[in-house]
Amino acid sequence: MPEWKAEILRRLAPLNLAPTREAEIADELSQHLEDRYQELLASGQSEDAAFRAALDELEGEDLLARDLKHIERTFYRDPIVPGKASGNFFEGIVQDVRYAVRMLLKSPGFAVVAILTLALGIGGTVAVFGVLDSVVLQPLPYRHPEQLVSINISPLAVDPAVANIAPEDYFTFREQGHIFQQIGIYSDDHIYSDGQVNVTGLPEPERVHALNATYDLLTTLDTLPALGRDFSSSDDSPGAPLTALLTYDYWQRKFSGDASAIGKTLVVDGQPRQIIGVLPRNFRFLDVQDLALILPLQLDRNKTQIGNFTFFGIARLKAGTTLAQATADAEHLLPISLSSFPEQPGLPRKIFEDAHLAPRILPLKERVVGNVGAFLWVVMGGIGTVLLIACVNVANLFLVRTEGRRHELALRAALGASRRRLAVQLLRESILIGLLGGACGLVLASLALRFLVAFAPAGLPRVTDIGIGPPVLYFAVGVTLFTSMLLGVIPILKYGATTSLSEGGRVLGITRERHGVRCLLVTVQVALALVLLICSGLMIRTFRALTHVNPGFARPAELQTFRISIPESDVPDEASIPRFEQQIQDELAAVPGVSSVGFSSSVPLDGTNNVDNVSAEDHSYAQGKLPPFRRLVFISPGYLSTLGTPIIAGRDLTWTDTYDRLPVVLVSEDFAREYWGSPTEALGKRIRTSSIHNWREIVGVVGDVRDQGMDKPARSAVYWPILLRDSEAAPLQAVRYGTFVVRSSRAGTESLMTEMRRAVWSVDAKLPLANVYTLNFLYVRSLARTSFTLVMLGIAGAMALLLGAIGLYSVISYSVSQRTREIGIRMGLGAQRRDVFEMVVAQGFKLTLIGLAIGIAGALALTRFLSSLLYGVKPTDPLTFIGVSVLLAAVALLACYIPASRAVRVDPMVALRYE
Amino acid sequence: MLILALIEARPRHGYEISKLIEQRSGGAVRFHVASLYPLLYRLERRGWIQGRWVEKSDQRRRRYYRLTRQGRRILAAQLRGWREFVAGINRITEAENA
Repeated sequence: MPEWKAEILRRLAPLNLAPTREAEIADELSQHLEDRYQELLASGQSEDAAFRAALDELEGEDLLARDLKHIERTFYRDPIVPGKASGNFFEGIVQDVRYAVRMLLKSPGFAVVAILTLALGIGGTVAVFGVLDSVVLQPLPYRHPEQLVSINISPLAVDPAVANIAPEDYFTFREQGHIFQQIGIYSDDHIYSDGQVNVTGLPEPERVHALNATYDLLTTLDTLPALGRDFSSSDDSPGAPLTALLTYDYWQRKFSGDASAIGKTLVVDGQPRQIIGVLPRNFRFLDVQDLALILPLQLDRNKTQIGNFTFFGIARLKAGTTLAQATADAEHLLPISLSSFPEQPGLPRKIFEDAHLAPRILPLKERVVGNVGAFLWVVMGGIGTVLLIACVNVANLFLVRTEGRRHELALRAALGASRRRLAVQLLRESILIGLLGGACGLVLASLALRFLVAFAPAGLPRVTDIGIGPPVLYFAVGVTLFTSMLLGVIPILKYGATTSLSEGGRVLGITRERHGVRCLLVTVQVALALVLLICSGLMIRTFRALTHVNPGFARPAELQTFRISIPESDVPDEASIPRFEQQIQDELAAVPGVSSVGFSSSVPLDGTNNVDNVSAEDHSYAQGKLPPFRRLVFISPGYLSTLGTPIIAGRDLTWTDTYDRLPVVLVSEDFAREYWGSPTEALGKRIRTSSIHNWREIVGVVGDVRDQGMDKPARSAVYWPILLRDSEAAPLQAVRYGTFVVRSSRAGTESLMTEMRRAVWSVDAKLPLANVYTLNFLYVRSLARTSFTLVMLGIAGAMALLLGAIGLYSVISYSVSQRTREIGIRMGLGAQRRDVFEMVVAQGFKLTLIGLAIGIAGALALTRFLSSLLYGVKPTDPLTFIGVSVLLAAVALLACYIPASRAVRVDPMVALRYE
Repeated sequence: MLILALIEARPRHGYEISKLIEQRSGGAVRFHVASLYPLLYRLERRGWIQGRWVEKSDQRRRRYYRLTRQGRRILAAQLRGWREFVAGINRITEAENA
């Protein structure tokens, strides 16, 4: 038969058609010519004549091409031919996507499982990243945030953890510093207040959050009022008329955004202040929530005495200067500062020189974010691991599918598809799955974020900023693409190189080599799951340890607390304050269902931090050395018994002690043991806070209280009466700001609070009640970081366990299905069901054991990152490691059991009929 | 129109179409490969006809063309137009001859 195709192809060549289309046309036309040729032969023509006559049909060299040009070029679109050669990655993307969609629709089960698995992994990861991004990664919302530092002073020799700044340092740094553009100091939490002030003069009395700041604090942050004017240095000078700046929210709330608020007068803690401005809407002071007012501190430079470390500093460094330069500058200025101002009576300069004061200058963001980053990164790591496991699972599914499509791939390769082309096609399928998973994941993430914000531990900074912003979206896209690539690349690496028809044909057994990758993936899965489960296990042990810690108070759910503040305008005389407070205490005790009531300057876990150096009469301290810090609490009689804190030796304070100002005091048990060996030994000993103060006799020793959280050791404490005079020369001192604690089975109910308010207002109708919490709320809040991490890691661990088990199950079960014939032969040759069962289980168990070994090694290396979150358990706790490994092994066995029991039901005859 | 009419009853392959045209026109109308197939492909692009490879026993596979629904509509329209045209011609010529 003459070579028609060659003739036709030569004429089609100038058209440069798609190869398949070209072949098709050549096929059809050559048949026509062959038919014509045969007909001519049949009619008696010679072969030669017939050939030429048939060829005439093509009419010259270029007619066919000319006529076809318009049709084929203009109208012809590539048909979907899988495996066709393609110019670049994006060419034929539509066709590949269509093809991929068709392939996925053909196996909806695979698609749904893969997409959901990825959605869970990606959703979780994106959600946690959303939190991490808003809380830790985003810069502070001020201009040039990188120039802002928090600047404080630490007494290294006394307590390096303490960091505050005193007015003399502020003045010195401001006047003589070379590195600081600006510096401002503020106080929002000093000894007798929790940063709140009483505002009257508006329709309702109210307790709001206020910040006392020097006039240059806002300019340091580069914030100007949106309305009115900023503080001037004269507003901040002592004796100047009192002024106040409002935050935007407070202005909206109290003045409905009325600009005429400027110039009006607010009564703050009994003092009239003129409103001079309103801060911008988006202004936030660090992480202070519900800030209402900023008030000028009005520090008096001429009356400043050294050592009043009750402020926090913020400075803006000059552009291009570093933290190290700033620290060096401050180090140089500190001695100047100490020597330029007079000392306080009873606090000789030498004490500060010996305390090794050192500047602590940190990026301002670190002060806001604190150590929260650590626990968020742990959660991020956990959820990221789940994503990895999910990826491995889906990759395994892809492998199984690609395995099943070996024949198809081989066929396409044989038909001329390049490896590159096949790889691109596989990759596009995985990207399609990845994108769908990512899209579902993003939806899940936005739902999860709401959940996360609602359940976020109290004190998580910037929690209100959490949301899905551009960085989170970029991250989501990045994770999705990464995952998709990972999914696509594994089958490509596995199969891309070995697509020949002979291999791609029917394969009934299972080769070790082909199974190897999947076994490796499962091993990785088991290892990752184990690491996560060990982390959750450690968190569970931590949580158990924390809830078994004796907090030093009893049944916190029965304790209702609220704060009051007695302004001077209501009770000007210090000496009358305790009577006023006793009166309220008695009114509260008379409320039905209340078993006891107490009053104190602070309650455990409320975040107050009032400490001072306490020295004992019978202890000597090196010359100029400060005695250790103790927590100071001022309490009413009955406070300790209400709280459930036991009196171990001696007696409680009485109202007589209080009113007669007897020089008595209570100390905590660990203070007593530290100094005198036993609680009873401490009775009768005398202590004081300052060398100019009078000695006070210890009349009772009380149980230790964990006031900073269950994971922090109890600080040794000293309990003072609520009315005292430190020395004959000192002013009488009462507790104007304090918390009432009420023990009642009705704690936490609104009806109890209504009656409480009525009781308080029967004594003073103008007294607002603030911080209304049960102690249990504070207790749970103190555990929130642990429980949040626990829940997150727990969820991650459970997902990892489930996904790991599914992964193991699918690999073993697939391997059993592939080995059906082999198993049949074995059984035909006399293998017992037991042998087959054991063989299958052993295969899975071997993978599990390897995974466990890798996982334990990984966990040993990684759990130390958890150590800041752990309590009462070591990062390498053997019990957790063993327990979790056993749990995982048990689940793995279960995952193998199902396919193994299927394997023993293999009928040898059926299996052999596969041949 | 010729091609559409030829495959109206049943699908035919290219060679068959060219033979039928040649036979029915008594050799007066003849399509060569070089003009027939571009025409077929053009009709196919327009969606009037549809080609499909068919493998029959004892024969090589061939591409058969059948009329699509759209092609059928076009053919009907063209036939009507053609008949009207012919009728018009006839009326003109008859009038002259009468």
